[in-house]
Amino acid sequence: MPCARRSERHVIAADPAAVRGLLQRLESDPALARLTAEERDCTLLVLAEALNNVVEHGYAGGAGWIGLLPGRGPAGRAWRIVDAAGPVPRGAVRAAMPAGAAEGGFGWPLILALTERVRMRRQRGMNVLSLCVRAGD
Amino acid sequence: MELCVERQGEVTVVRPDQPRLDAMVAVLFKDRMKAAVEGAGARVVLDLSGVGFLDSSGLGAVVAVQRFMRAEQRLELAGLTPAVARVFRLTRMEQIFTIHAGVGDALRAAV
Repeated sequence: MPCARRSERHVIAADPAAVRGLLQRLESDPALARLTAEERDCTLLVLAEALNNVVEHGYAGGAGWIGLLPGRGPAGRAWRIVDAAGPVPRGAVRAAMPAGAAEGGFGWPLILALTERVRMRRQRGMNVLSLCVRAGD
Repeated sequence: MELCVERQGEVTVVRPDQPRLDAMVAVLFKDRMKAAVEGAGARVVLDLSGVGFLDSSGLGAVVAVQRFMRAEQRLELAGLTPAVARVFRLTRMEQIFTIHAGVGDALRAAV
């Protein structure tokens, strides 16, 4: 009988190499393996953008940790990301794609375009981002 | 992150040697591309057929390459995998590049 494990919890250092390593491990996560290829690609992209935001803006390149846990919702598409960086500034979350030949500012618009639910809250000095990636067609 | 640079007639084809163009290698990719386009002709084709994952940092790095190019040069893209094509489509960055299905199509377009 296949393992019924829903998904693992992960804690990584807040740096790009650790983010990449986690995303590569998630490619074989049992919950993601059950998604369609499109859902899996979109989930990995959304998580990459959210984790990169914490590394680049939350901790601003400084030391820190990031936790990734299964969220409430469909396995593989629902996740919670927890970090101990400072509060996310108002206005950081925007849906509009940058215009023209932009070299940045795509992170949040991509997250919002590919999710059906995103909630950011501050809890006990930590940021908790809950999200659910859209189901494929 | 290394780039395989190959001159095919008037076209310079550049191919990343890694399957991920992400935040970890975005700066390095830009540096390598800057060197690659310096010695290139008017058409530079970035072959992304071996890249299965591109995040917004990688996308920004690809867009930034255009800043390094001479006035007569242009950057074209080829071989976008489904995950990479989705990022270009969602961000509308597909509108600022000529995108070929594969390198062969890009080379034929030169004739």
